[in-house]
Amino acid sequence: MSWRDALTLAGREIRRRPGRAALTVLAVALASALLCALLTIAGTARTRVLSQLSHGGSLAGISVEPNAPNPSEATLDDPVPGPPNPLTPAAIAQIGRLKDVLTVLPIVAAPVELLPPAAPPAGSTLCPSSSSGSGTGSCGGGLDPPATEVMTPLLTTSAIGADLGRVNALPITLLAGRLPIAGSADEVAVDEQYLSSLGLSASRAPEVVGTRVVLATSVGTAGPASATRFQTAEIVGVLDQEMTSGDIVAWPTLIETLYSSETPAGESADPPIQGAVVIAKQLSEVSPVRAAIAGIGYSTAAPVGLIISVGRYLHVVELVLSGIGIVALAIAALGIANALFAAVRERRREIGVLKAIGARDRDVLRVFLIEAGLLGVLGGLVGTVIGIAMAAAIAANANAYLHSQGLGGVALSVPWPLPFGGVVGACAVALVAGALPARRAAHLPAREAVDA
Amino acid sequence: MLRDISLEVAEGEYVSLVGPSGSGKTTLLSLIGGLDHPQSGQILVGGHDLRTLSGDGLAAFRRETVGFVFQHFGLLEALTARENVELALTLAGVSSARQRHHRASGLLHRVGLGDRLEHRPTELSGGERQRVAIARAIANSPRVILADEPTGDLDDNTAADVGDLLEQLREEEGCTLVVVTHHRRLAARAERSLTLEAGDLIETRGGER
Repeated sequence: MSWRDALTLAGREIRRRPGRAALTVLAVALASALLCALLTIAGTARTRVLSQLSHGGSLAGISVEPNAPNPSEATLDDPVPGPPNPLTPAAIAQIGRLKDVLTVLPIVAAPVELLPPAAPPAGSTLCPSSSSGSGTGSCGGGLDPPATEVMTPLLTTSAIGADLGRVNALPITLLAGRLPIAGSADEVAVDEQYLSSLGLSASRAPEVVGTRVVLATSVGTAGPASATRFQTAEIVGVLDQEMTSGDIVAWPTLIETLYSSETPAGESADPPIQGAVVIAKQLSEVSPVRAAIAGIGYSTAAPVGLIISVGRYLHVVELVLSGIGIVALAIAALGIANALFAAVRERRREIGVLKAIGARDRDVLRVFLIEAGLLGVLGGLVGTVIGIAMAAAIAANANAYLHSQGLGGVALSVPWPLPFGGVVGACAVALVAGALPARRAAHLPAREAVDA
Repeated sequence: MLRDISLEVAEGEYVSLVGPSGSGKTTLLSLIGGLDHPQSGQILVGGHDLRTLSGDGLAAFRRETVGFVFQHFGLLEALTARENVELALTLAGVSSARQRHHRASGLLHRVGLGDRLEHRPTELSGGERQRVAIARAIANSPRVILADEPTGDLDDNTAADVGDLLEQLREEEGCTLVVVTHHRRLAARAERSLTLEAGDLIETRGGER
């Protein structure tokens, strides 16, 4: 009897007893669903927790400071940096050439004053925040029309420019809205400090999305030779960022725009590199890369020690959850074995007839194993779908809670082997559970055909 | 149960085996058909020494040399009449689905069930089920048909029809027919009738003991 013929016969036998088959499939499905849901939730939680620990960026991400390393704290996750040591494009290039460095993302920054979300009136000028409240007079020259009105800054901070196309590598967590589109010079994301300046709590983050803000910065030598530049931008998102100090995040294009024109004194300026995010090829390479960067003369920070410790605890949690799922699968396996033993008892005469008309032991074994396998595959398919749906529902509930608390949500993380493994695993469990009844069926004597 | 039994059946012969319940008729049939092993003695069927066969060898003997007809019909309820007959062909290694389909349909037409091909056993009468079982028994052109109480669950008229069919097919196929029965009329149709009583095999009609 070919596998195909055995499959047909096994399929017919399953359809002959739909109630029993449905109950058996349900038992396997529930066990698979539980295991899938637990593993998905555990995986998602792990991603979320580790992401939080690494401030949303790559786990192998290293933050490089524009400071010299502090030898006494070089091995700490977050050392106190040494004296200032400006990061230059040459230094960035040198770091990029280090062994085991996957990529380097420089972060530029510009000190800015944020003006209320309205376009600056023609002829207005900017007062430093320290002088806010004075309300009169002009605070500086510049390229803009002569000052006719003094504006009070909303917030004095830094605008950070980074390649937001590599967001997964950056220590950024989006709380609301989206990130600025690639290369945009008129879109920004703000952080919670900006919300605070408006008197808003984190839960009201979506309210600022779509509003506009004016960025103003002084370029050039302080005093009459300096120039004040204005750039109106739309706030497209609210986020939590740990790249460097600053409350406005944009593409470097925007920062370069603020610095683009020459000052009245004929000076031009490049935006300073405020830091860099270095991605090591592997988590295990983070320490050697940090040491190499320290050798170049810069202080680094990376929560690798914390991540490894927490990872170990999370692994224990996953083992416990897997254990619960495996117990469920074992119960399902007993259900399959019981159903097949019952089928063998009921079909003794039928098995005898099969042998009487020429079936070999292995033909009978094949039919029963295929029956078990089909029940397992069906249960695995149904269970995997239910399990992932359960995990999605739980994640949705968790997100609703997290968002209500003004926190970032969790993105459901379904490991790619899980759906495949769910089905194959359930089938394997069913085959193991069905092996004994199938063997018993195969060894029934042909004489059963004529026994009453 | 059976002791000192000696039975020789000629090729193409029609033999009936009668006797009280528990006398060992079905056991004897099982031994001839390779469903059971004798504790001692020799069984030769169609040139096969059944003592020397086991496992796959016995399975091959059963599917190539003998065809069984049971009192309980022995049909697989999950399959249609045609599929039940096809199953015997599948086990015999007929790999072409079209060939199996054609042969099974032809056999069922031959036993008068041309319009019941796709019916399941539960949708057929007792007589029809036994016809399907007979079609399955001759599917692989066996040299011996062994029928264990083939009319036991049938009324007299249907039993007579089944008896006619078995006899007709034996003549057409030229195979040996051994029928265990309580049915006097069916036993009387055989060329030779044997009675099994208290472990002894007695020839009651035709031939010699």
